[in-house]
Amino acid sequence: MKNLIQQLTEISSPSGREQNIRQAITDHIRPYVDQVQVDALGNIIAYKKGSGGKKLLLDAHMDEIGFMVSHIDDHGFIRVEPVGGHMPLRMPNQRIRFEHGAIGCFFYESEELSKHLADYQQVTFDRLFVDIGAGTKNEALSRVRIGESATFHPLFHDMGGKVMAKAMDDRIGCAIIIELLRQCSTPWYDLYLVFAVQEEVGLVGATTAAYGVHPDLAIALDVTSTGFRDLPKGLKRIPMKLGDGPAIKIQDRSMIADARLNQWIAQTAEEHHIPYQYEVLPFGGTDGGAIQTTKTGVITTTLSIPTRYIHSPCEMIDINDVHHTVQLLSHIVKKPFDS
Amino acid sequence: MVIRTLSNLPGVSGHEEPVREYLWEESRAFIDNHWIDSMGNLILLKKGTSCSKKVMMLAHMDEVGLMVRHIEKKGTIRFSTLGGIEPSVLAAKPVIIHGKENIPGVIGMKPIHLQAPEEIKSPLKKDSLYIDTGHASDEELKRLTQPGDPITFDTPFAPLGQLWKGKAFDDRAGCAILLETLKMNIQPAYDTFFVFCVQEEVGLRGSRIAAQRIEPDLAFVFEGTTACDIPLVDPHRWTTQLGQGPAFTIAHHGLVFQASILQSLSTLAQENQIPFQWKQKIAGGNDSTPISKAGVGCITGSISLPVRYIHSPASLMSPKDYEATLRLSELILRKQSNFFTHDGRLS
Repeated sequence: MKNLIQQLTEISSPSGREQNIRQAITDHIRPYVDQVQVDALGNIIAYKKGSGGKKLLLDAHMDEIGFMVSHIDDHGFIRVEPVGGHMPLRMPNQRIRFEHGAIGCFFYESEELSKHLADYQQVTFDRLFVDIGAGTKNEALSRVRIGESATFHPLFHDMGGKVMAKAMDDRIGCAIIIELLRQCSTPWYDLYLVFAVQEEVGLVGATTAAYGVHPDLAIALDVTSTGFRDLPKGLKRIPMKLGDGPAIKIQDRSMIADARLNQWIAQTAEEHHIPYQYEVLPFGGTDGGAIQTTKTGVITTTLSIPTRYIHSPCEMIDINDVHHTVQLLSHIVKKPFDS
Repeated sequence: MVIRTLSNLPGVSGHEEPVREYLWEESRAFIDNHWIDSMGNLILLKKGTSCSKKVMMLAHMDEVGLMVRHIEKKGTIRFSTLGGIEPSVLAAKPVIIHGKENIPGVIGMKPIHLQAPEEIKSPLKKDSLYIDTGHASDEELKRLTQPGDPITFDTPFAPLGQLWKGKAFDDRAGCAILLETLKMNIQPAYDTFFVFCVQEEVGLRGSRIAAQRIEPDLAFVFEGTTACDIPLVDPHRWTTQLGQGPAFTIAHHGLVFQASILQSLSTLAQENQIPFQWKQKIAGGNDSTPISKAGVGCITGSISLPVRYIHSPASLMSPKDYEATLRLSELILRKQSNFFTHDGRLS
């Protein structure tokens, strides 16, 4: 499992440039599914036939937050635009890796020593630049092109019980679906496994994938934040905690999850002694929100993996939460849900 | 001149009739079928050699502007804005209220010598502005206009040095390009829907239902976009610059454009010696986002004409960019198969 997580998180595939991760995921799932399709926007929609004749859509997004080269100056310094939800304050001194392999680091404009801290506190992407060690515009252009994508430089680290990497959001969801397919024999549901594109810029891929599938039931897999129970003086309103099991989404900014489905999932977890927790997230949204309002509506919830330091190169998860989520899903796909 | 006529026509969001009428009259001889949908989108079909694919070429008809909200006893008019307009560009600008007849007005504000120091320092607020029509009371005005009537900037199209000045290049420039392309009477490879859509400026609304109706395989959005190539701004913040050709968007609000469409567009431009530029900033968005997300999704390209002082009473654009974009638009229509592989998939 950790090897899979390492492989998936080390791939750079920001929103809209998912070709590399799409190839890797397709290779993993092909032996376990009946059909693999790629739609117009680049979503993977895989199909595994079940015995019950109803459609269950499982979604994880395969994109990650990243960057796009917007300008290169005469001295070879690069300007980038954020793709997805970045906090500019976290950028200075971070390493960045470009689509064609160049590696650089972020720094920010600051012309006076006395304003160094103030400039840092007010930093925006207009004032951030990337240094790839090129001395001239031409040298920079030989390594990086305008419009080229980039991501955080990967720094996977196995800490025993916990694992840290960039892009856990949402390669961990992708890894869970892959592992589920490896373990699951014949499901009751016809499974539609969606590895969606462009979640980080606005739930783009899930919108069109769900429209094409129009499932009876959908579960999105994504990461969620943790708070005061998990970190020294963590966010007061966020009770989620690493190691307490998958978090069943009640609400975020994109959806109020289906309460009947949530109850059924919680019961299933209890029957099999799988730990779980509930999630109310006062910010953020996931593909679940887009899927729920597709066509005439879809019964939808989200299972979240508690994750520390989301949208940074150091996203940290507990490997037990991952195993428990796979276990829970393997029971869910085997029995019919009656609303 | 098509761009002159289109820029001068009034058509704020929700009140696009004059623009739609003109486009319909000009294009009706060149099309195979047409629809005007529930929101007012004008959809024109030019049949292709093959109907196996659907291509959409879209521009929005609406412009940013104002709307009558309340007529005051003393003959002044309070207004709302339609679309993103910064209040500071409004003070002392001439406008036209489109009531039962056209009523000229000027946007008024408290003169500077009567403002408190903190008023002068703080950014102008919409509520401190009103329209002065020269009428001394509301009696005559209420016969001529009512709440809801649209208001446009009074800025007739005119050349300005090597540039053009006008009120509504966003997005009559796109409308003009598509109308001129349509009138070339080219038969495309695939069924092509020219869409002139409503209400882009208030939330990308018209394009969504047009795309849901058509379900295109491939779409192109023609837009006026912001150019900040002015001395006060560092080059890396220009977004686009005038005179460098149409700008292709790599990513913007809610969408990253497919690498394949960027490759096809830039190759087409290069092979035909058409200048182009990449849009630098990802701020803002356009109809490409709802179109890409409609139905099972489609591949979209966004081609923008750089416009200085966009969303203000007086915008500037370059005839060079217009000519280059028109050539590109013609080539897109003539060479649609470039965007598909030999087995019909999108390349």
